[in-house]
Amino acid sequence: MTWTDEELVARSIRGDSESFNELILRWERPIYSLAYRTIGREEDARDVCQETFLRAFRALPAFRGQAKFSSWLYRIALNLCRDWMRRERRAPIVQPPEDVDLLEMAATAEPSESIEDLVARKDLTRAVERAMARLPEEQRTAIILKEYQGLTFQEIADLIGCPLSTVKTRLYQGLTVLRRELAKADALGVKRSVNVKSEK
Amino acid sequence: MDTTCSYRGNREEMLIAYLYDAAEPGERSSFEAHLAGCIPCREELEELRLVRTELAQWAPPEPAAGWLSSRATTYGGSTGVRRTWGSALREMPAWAQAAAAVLVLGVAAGAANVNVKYDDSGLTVRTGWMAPSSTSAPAVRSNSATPALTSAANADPAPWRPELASLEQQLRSELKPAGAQTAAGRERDDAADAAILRRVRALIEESEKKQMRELALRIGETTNQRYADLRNIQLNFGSAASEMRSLALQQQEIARRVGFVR
Repeated sequence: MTWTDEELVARSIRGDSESFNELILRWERPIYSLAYRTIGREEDARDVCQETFLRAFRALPAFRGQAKFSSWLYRIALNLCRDWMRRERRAPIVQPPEDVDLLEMAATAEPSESIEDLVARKDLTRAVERAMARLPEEQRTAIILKEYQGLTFQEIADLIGCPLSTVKTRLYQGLTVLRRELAKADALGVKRSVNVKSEK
Repeated sequence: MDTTCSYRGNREEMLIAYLYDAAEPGERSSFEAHLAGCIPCREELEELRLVRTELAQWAPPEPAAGWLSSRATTYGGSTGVRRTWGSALREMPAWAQAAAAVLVLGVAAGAANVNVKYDDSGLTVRTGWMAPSSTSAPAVRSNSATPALTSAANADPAPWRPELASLEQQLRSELKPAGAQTAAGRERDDAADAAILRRVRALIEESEKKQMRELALRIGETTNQRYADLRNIQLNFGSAASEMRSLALQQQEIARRVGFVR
């Protein structure tokens, strides 16, 4: 039987530790992805992810279900990311590009991808990462929550604590900056549309 | 076709709502009618769609091997439930870190192997593996004035080892995987953890005090020896000075006689 998050939370509060483990297994990847994209450092993202679940576990008895469990978890993670950036006093890190390992890349390649496409995709990924790192924190957070976590405008507004219109404005401004930054990367030779399948 | 946008309303918000397919049906059809005749909006929408497609290429690296997988590893037992760090965290007693600290302290004390020696060749302080404790004992000078110090130095340097060994044994047994715990069981464990934590802290304090006492004894012994040697040096120096004075007097006498003869 598949329990909902809220049911698992209720069971966890009653002392069923395996229910909380189930919640971890269900949400560790989204939380890690959110942390990584926000702070840009794999190791610290893992720490943030782990700390998020630790804090959630400790605060579980106080969770009243006024928000979705996932929103509550996202809020904890975002606060931890903010703390991290404040402590480190810096913008998200763009990890230095490592040497391109063609064998490793080939393992993750689509069957139809050529090696040139693989390299171009890697370059594009780096360009996106760099462009995202240049965004102001509010715009970056809005884009991450919308694009990668798939939250609705209303969920983002509730999570961040701002009006719906502000969320849309931040998304527009953020995407506009990204558009400009990626156009610069394109001018420097990063192929923007190679083997990229449009979603629509 | 116009090259300037004449959309009445919040264009930015509408573009975003349309881009993410979140516009109300009425707004949507109205905006689509606008798009049909507005080149800037169509171009911008296409650009934003391209950015979204590019954003989709950015995937975070998979966590290093052993992070996620270790938390999804099954462990033995009839339940076959997955062991995650969440449960591991609860199974790990709070005093485990303190016990580890005691282990580190013990190892560090053994590794440091402090040996202070003051003899004819001067003051020597040795630490580490270079001076095993079995050879360091004779280096402590037998002195009738300090028999207690010598015996203290030769005593077992770690009388708390048996207790540490039993603690380690307990730690190992506690760390064995266990099934799901009940709330009452966790409370019991918490109480036991707190008691053991107190014991471990007491052990650490006792160990630190003992090390400080031993160090003080060694320093006292070295200081005593230093004073004794200084006294010897002073005596010898006094004797030599006396001889020098006598010699000088003899030379003066000889010189005086020679002068007198002349």
